[in-house]
Amino acid sequence: MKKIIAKYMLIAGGLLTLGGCSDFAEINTNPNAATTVTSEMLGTNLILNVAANSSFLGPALLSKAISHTEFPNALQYNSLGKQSFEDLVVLTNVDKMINLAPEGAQKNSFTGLGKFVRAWRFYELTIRVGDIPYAKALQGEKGVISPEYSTQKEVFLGILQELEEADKAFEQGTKFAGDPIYNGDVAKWRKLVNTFALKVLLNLSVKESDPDLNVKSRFNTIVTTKPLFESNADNFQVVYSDVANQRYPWFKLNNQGLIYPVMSTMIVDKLRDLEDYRLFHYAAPSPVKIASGINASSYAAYVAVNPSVVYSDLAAVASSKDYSNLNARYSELANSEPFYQIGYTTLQFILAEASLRGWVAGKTASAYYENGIRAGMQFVASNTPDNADFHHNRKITADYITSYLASDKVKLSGTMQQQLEKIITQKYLGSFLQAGYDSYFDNRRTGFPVFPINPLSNNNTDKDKMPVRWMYPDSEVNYNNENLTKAIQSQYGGNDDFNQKMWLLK
Amino acid sequence: MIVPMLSFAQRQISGSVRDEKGVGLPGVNILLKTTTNGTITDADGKFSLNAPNDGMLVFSFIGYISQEVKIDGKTQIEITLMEDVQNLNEVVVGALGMKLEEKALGYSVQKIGGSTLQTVKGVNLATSLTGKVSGLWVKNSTEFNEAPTLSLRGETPLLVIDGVPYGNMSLKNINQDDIESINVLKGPTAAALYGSRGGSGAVIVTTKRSGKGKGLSVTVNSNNMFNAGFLMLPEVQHSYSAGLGSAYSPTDYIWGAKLDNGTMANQWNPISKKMEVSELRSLGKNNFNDFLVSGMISNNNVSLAQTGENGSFRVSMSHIYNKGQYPNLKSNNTIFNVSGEMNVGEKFTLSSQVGYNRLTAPQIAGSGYDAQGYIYNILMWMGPEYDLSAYKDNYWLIPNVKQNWHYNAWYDNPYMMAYEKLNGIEENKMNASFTATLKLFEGAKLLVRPGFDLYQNNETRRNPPGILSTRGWDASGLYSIAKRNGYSFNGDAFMTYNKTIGKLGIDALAGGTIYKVDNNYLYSGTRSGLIIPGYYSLNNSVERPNVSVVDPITEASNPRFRKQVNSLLAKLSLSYNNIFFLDVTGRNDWSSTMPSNTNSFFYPSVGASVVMSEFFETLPSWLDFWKVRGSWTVAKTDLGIYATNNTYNTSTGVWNGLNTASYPGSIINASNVMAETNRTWEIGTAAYFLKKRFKLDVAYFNKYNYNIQTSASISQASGFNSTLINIDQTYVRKGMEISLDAVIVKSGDWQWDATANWSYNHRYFKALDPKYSAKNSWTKEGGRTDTYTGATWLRDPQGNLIHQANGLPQASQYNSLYGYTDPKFIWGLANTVRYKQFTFNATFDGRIGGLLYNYSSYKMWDTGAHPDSDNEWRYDEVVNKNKSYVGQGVVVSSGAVAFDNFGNITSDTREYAPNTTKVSYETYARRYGDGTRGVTNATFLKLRELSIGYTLPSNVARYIGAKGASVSLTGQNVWMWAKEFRFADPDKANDSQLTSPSVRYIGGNIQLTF
Repeated sequence: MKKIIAKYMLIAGGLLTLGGCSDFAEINTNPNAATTVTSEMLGTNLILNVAANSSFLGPALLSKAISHTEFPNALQYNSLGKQSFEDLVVLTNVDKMINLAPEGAQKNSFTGLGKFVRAWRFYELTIRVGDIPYAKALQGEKGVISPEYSTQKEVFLGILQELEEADKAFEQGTKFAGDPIYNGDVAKWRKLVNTFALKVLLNLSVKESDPDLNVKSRFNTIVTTKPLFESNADNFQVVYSDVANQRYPWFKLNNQGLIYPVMSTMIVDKLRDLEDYRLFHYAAPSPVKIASGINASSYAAYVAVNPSVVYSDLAAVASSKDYSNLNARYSELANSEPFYQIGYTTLQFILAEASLRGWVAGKTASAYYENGIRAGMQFVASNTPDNADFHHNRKITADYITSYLASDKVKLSGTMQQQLEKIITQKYLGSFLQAGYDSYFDNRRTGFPVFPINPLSNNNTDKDKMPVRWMYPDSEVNYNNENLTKAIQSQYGGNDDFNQKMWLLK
Repeated sequence: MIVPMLSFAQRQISGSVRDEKGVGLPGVNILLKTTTNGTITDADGKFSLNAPNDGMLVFSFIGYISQEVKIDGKTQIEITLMEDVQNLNEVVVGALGMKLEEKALGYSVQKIGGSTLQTVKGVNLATSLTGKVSGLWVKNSTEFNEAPTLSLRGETPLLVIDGVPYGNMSLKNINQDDIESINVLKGPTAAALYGSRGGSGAVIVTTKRSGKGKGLSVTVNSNNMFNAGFLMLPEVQHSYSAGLGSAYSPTDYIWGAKLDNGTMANQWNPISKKMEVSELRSLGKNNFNDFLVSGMISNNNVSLAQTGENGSFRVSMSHIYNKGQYPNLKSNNTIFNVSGEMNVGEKFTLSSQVGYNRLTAPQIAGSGYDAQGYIYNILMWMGPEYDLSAYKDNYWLIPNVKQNWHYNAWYDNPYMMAYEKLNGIEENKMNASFTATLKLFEGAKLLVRPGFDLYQNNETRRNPPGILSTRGWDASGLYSIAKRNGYSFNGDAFMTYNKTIGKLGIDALAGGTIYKVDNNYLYSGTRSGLIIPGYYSLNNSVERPNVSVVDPITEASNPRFRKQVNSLLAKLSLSYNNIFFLDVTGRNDWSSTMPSNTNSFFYPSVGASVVMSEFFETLPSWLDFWKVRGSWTVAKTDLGIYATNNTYNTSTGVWNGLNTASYPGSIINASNVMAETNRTWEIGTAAYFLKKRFKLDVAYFNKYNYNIQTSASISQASGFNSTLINIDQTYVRKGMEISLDAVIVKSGDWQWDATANWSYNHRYFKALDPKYSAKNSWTKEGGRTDTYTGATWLRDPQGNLIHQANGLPQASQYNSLYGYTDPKFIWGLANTVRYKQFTFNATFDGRIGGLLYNYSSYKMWDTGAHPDSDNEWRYDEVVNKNKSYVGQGVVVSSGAVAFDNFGNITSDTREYAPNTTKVSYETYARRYGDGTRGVTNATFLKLRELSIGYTLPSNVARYIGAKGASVSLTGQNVWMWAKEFRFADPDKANDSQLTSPSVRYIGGNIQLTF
């Protein structure tokens, strides 16, 4: 008996030992994670990362196009806070994508894409804070975990250089897969790269005389020798549809925020003043005015709130219901309208301003300006179904556009400052819920459009001014302190503050 | 008296038995082992009897330690019996299920007898452990189906059931009535033999194998407790309606119109289902209380045990029914347990246990802020101007399609939530183990103990279209099912050997362990809604259903995660003269989660104990026993499963069928990452005094944590969020535990026993990593790690609140240190008073100090629900349209301030003047609230459990055919006091998701033994 038991126990012990001889490497390999992927998959992620609209209302609040009644929103009241550097992390995928691409034309296409995405992300960051790590950035795997900062000028020179390289790479590239925007059409990508380069250059307008940047001649070279957007069809835009995860960001499904937007006087009053039918396409009439018998096609039905009123006044308006919310097409249609980061209309206004500044010869500023308005209006008209709930019987037709452009209030005329104001104002009105923070940066650079400032509601530390930059993030304070401190010292005398002017504004 | 016996090779043996002082002991029982033959000593302690040459004599005498002596051909035997200091020799169950003498231990172990857990039976037995073990912090939740969390010396201990450290078992899977004892091994030394899993101590559960005594025993234990009110209940103002800016609007917030003053408004009538103009009245001031239901816990157990000559067999079945405090919350938990042991001959014993546990609940949702529970809906965000009871059984406008409700964003009809937005669970768990022990030769045993558990859980979610609280749900309608299953295996095989050589005792153990886990996860759910309303199935999905290995709620992408650890271990215990004890252990692990060149790691431990009261000749008369102990151990921890996998994240069908991939945001260059290491030393002492009426145990420990594996944050400009390294930032945790057992009264029929526990532990930064440590001011050597940091309000040098020119307080752009989250200390006090047939038990516990976010109170300042916001300024603003509030503090009249990166002032020329700007009270209160930002002292004390029992006299019990019977009045969560915390029970040490009302349970227990 004892022997038998001893034998079986030894066998059991032996089995335990055998069970221990498993392959650890196999056990610790995640069967649901990929060790290699394709350039296309990385490319899709990068493209959506820059093209999709991650923050839908933020830019509209900061640029005073709407107000939000849920709480005293930080951006609405000019509290910019600290700008995270997290959007740089995605750029690690750029080199991986290029390395995985097959040699030759395909690699050129992905190289072009990679350089464009890098330029885009670095531009978006530097324009908010000032100096940032650039030359030494994105080398974590090589051991550079606390990268030194480059000056903003170095960053901009780098961005312009990379955009030039991207244009060349696309020129030598071929159609590539994984592109949800242009379906891999390198010709369209070249147009985007160069259009974006013009936007970057225009944002350096204060630095027009800097000999290293040579803004004017670079701008002119691109306009005269490189392909640019030719119509709204070239827009760098995401097109929405009624399937899961591809619906318009303001579509009503699972959207609790519909009750909060209040149209701003910045948009409503200007459109009313210009007798601009886009009002009826951007805004919804006040339900109180409708209930009192005013027709939805009447300008009087649209009630806006000055975006600088103190929050308690805004809240009272919200409860009164007597205000214009966003037009119903934004929430009722899953494919309401495409969202563009940079569009043909943007380009036309960029060219109009450049022409005004004498950077380009040929077409007049007025021609570009009118093109920009027309393209913007056509964009709105083509995305508004023929439904009175959406256009309130104020349809934007070709005839209407022609008459609008002919009106004295619209026509480009006056002093240079007056013309600049008209250009930027129309750019602002034309990019409602589009083009990210462009309007805020235009205001910062040119003073237009003029944002109302109310010291009683302004949360900026300087009560009479808009803040001009975001602060650096805590993650840099904590994990790149030495380099950050140097950068703040050299730029802002050691004071990381919202009202310090960065290099490109000086 | 001599009982002669006829047998071959028998001879007469004689001798004497003496006590430690050399005095002969009369009346000592002497038994020839394995027979019934024996004798007792005479008045001088002398004896003689006949016995075989190879026999063994057992000497036993009450109050003395029994001894076994081999005859080995001797004819004269002289022995000395040692006094058995009752309780001093308490046996505890240590690592690997070894029975250990408490006095020999070099570390702290505290034991809880099963019987103390079997009168007041709640939903989860962990609640009954609260306050009963010093150093063990049990954090109890008020939420339905949410288990308490255990924190032992600040970390999560390993759960070991009958010697098996299962991978998937938790205390809720164990039948409260099956518990023989629970031993809490507090430090890593105690649990050193469990390796990395025991690095935070262990809770060792030993289950019953047999009934009391031989023969059949049947016990019934039924405890039923009912909701008898609430210890903590949120309160709100009911003077103002929903809305903003003093106007009624059922959209969001409760800063609306004054109620009950004749104001008329167009309101939704839930009965006529139309908008109607009616007066705004506080119809719903009791909405939440009316919505609550009377919960209960019914915990019933029947067990049968039979003990015979060669073993025992026990079957136990429990059913726990729990009804929560909100409608439709109910769970059924069935625990079935079979165990037994048998002796096969003299050499072989087998002990086994199999358990099955099934828990089902049709609905577990209803709590939380992020999950948009009932408090979030009814109290935080909806006003008191509507009568919720009118919506009861009346929650449809169009059945299965549209709810009958007066809101159109965020907030749902709570009755619709309770019965139509369902998050159901079905959890099945099995565990099985056996322990086979074979005596190889004298002193040597072989032990093999495999243990398995496996689980199969389904979690469903369903909701109709048109819902408004959509986090975790889908406004187009949803049915989803998540399936989780897996198993763990823990197999031990080892040999033990013990021998006594003179005064030296040797106990040795060597063997190996294999531990494996394998888990699977699969989620599927409808996409873009349901085709046919009210039909909840994947077959009813509008788009092709989602199937995913990613959990949509946690976004954890770990569909299959596996791990294996192989170990060799050894232990040597030496004792000398019952005075000196020494334990040395060593263990080597090979873990699958570690890189191949660091996957083998060794850790040793040493523990020693000296019984000082034996060592010193003269003790003060009040001191009965005194020992000191000390231990030192190293424990190591491996990496998380797949932590070393440098793999891309991929997603399918992201945009127009395109798939995406991204490189990990953490640098995973892990080939040299070592096992994380903890070095703990611990000293302690235990003493009995005043005729053993008091027992004091004190432990102090120091746990040094280094080689910490971490994904250290780095500058995101590097292209990565973090990098996986062994950071040079190190921690040390220090703490002390004191427990005192006392017999306070023992007189006649009265006895009052009490146990008090007191403990604290805090963790500090010991060294910082120059490269990777955060540069903020509170990350510093010697600083505590449980920091509570956040934004603050700016103040002038005199501490006055600085206001902006607009009359609103100015917030700092920088975070500051408020204090620390861990309690200063925790304590518990258990009392048992017996008088004749009556037993009275009361256990108290609590925490002192430590900061906690009181979100339940603070958030109401923003929403407008806070009862303290119902004041003169609010009235003036709403009724008189007069914005009259002036914040107390100052404004900057001139000058400016500059800060460095950390928010320290670098230059300051500010001058101040009193703030005189009148502002909207609504705006001010929403911004500033009570100024605390919710940071609140969490001190509380609680009467955790209460029972008053009566044991029926046996002649009465026999009336109903029982051997024994008792009845008790029982209560759990009976009463509490909180120093500053409001509207929420701080017991769980987390109010960040709002806390459901804390239910007082009162009921009765009946126990019958047949």
